[in-house]
Amino acid sequence: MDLQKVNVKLFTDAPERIDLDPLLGVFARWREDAASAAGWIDLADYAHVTTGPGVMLIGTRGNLSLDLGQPGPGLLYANKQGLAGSLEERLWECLRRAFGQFEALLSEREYPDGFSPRWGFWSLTINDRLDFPNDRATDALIRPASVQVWDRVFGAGSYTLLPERDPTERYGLTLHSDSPIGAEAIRKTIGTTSN
Amino acid sequence: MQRLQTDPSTPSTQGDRWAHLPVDVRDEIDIFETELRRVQSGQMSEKVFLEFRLRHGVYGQRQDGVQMLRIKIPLGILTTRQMMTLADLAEEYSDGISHITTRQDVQFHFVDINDTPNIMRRLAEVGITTREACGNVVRNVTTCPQAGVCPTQTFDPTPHATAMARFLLRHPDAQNFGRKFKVAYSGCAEEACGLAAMHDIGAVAARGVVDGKTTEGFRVFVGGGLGALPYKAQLFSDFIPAEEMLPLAQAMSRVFARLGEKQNRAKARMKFLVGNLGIEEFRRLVDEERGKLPEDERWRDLIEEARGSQEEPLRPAAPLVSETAGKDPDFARWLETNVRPQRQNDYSMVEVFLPLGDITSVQLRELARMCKRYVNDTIRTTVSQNLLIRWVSNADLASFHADLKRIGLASAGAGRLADVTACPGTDSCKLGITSSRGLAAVLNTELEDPMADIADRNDIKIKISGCFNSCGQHHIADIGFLGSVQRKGAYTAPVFQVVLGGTTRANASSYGMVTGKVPAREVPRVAAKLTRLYVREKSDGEDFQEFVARLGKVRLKSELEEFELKSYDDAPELYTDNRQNWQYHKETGVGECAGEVVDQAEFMLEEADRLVFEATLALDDGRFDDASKGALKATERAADALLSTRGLLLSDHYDRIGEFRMLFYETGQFHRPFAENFFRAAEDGNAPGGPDESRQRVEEAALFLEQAQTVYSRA
Repeated sequence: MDLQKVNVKLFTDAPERIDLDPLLGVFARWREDAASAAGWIDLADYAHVTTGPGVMLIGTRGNLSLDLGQPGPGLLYANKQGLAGSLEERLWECLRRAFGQFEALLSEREYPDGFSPRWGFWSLTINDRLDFPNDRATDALIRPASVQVWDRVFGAGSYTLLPERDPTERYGLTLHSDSPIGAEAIRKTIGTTSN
Repeated sequence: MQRLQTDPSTPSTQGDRWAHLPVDVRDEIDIFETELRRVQSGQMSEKVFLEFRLRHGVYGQRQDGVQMLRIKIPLGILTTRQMMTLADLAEEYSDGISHITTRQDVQFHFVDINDTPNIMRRLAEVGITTREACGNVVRNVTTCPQAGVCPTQTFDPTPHATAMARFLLRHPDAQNFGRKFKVAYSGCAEEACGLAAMHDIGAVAARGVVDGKTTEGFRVFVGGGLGALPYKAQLFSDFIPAEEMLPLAQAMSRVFARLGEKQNRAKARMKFLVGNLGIEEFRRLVDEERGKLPEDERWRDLIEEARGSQEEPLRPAAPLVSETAGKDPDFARWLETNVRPQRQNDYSMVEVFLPLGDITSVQLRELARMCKRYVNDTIRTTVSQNLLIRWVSNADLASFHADLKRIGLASAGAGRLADVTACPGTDSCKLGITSSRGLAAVLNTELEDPMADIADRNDIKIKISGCFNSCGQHHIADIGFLGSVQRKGAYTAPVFQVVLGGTTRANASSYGMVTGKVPAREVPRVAAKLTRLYVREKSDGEDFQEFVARLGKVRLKSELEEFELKSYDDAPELYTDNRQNWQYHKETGVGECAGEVVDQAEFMLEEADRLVFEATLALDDGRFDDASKGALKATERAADALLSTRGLLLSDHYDRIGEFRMLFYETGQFHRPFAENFFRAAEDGNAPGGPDESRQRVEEAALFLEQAQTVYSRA
């Protein structure tokens, strides 16, 4: 099985007044960057959809958005292709790509107000029910690899992982770090990557 | 079936994972995947593949390398299981949004073409196909979503429309058109939901007397269509008995395939054929063709089959507790705008208002769960890009509203001014000139404030098309907007032509006229001004269409003067589009909505080519029996291709060998030894042979195909 479709979400605070419009300009600029490894294609504007994907930058390698969907708002990177190696290596690479995109977006002057990242609150979802249905077999494959990845970032035993229980939903694990952590500490482990 | 694997990372059928699918459906999708790999490896013509993929619902987007997938939802009917699957697929292969179209389809955007075979297989698991969702074929059969529960219906057209959709899907007589072909059913003449007057075939439920007995049937209109040159459908017959509808459509398809324009795509819709021939001559040709049709038991069986799946309510009928509505103003407003009584006492239909026709996977999945709790199993998509939930017991309305609210789907305003229809425009369409979705989104926001005073009007409809192809149906709006551009000095601005006085009422009985041109960014103010003008100056009982006619074009144009495009120096913001704060540049490509005009013979020859290739693979694998059978099938297909150029239709069940012998062998037009090989193989049939016989038959098939292609290219 060829794991490629992995969503990484970094949860953010939810502002009282949601205004995603500043992202239109940011993503319009980013999509012009032909040299980006992400292979940006275009932006998709779903700001009109309640609890929807917000404003999304679509790429051949993955999509990036400030997502308003369940279980709460957050920066979402949806990897679509280009992963290789063991499961752990693939999840790590995906996290590295996601973190790089999130940091770049957070550093934008126009980044919308109120969506402050909660660095200790993440989710990782396998966006592929066909090869990785939400069942015990997938859990047996993915959870150990995820634990290895998160251990490297947060340290063993310093976080809790909650699996998605609904078998009709995609397989996913939500992480809540027990101790406060900031971007700097994560960056030290993951490193940086360009968008 | 063996598939080419040019890229190991692309999906394949992965063993017998899909063995549970019906064989013909599985084969059809396997063939799609094989053709995809063939075109990717340069073994198939891109022109033929373009029309081939369109016929499987795969449509090129404005952006390179991604596809829009149009999913055919006949009559807009979706079961809860289908909703769950659509939700899953949108999440995994698209951007998490299912988009409801103005023809009751569902579309996914930004899809990787390599994922499409597996999407099709997963759709097939729940009985959905993308087959013939795009391309020069019969598109989705649409029907008023209230059919069966509508208080004003003559009768429920659902079984008849369902039968029509099933009958025409993959029908051999509907595969050789120069352009798309659209069919719509309506349960009554008065309401807007069926829009029968803007279709190639529009059927409006009617009762007539046949042999002294009152019977169900349809008033049939033909040759309607929007696009750059809108045509209102003409009356073909005041009454066609219901059981005559399928053969009538088949006869019309044959006339359209035979006489419709094939070279000039801009003139290839059936409206031009009807217009050129005149309705009388068209009617005569259809009647003549009808007389020649061999009896087909499916004409009646399909209707009977569809009658067997009537909807039943889940919950008992009970009245709404009246004080519930009084306590919650949101509920009261929603009740007023989104809920209509059914013809069945104490049941209501609830319209779920989807801004721009978009719904998230989470919402769609939760809505499916709600439907399981409140109604039986189905919902319907609407031509106004919403969802209609029928059979909600009135006693459940308050809790239904509360549950909708929980998932962000309880917006009031369905069918009101705020319920704007828009095509994809520059968001994803290659032909888009302006951002129709951007404009719809801005209108959506502004109708909450500062246009809240007019948001709830139900007597004006706004529709937006991003170009002249009219996918947003601006011609039939009270206030329609058509995307265009205007240059001033060195700068180009996105603008919209203002089209006034059309109507969706009485099945889209009238089209509007262009009254002026305004910058895209000014459209919300224009819509507000025209609406307020109507509110202020209309006479008693005067609808918007009558109001526009009374005021006249000169007065209305003068009302628009204040919105004229200013110079870039005076108003640079007018040179940007809605929700796009960067400078506008017109960028359009070659659209695919007209597809490629690919002759049926060309399709058949490509199919024969694939079959020869697969026979070769079978030979290499030592499956000699399969190789021989495949080679014979390829030869037959190539022969059919040539015969189709002589007017023979597959549905005529002609004598293939006899006709080929007469038309190509005896006339010396086909190299005789190759034809004799074919006659001999056909006589031997599928008799098993050894390696040598199989190899010989495959080689003979390849030679026959090559000769057939030569003869076709000479034709």
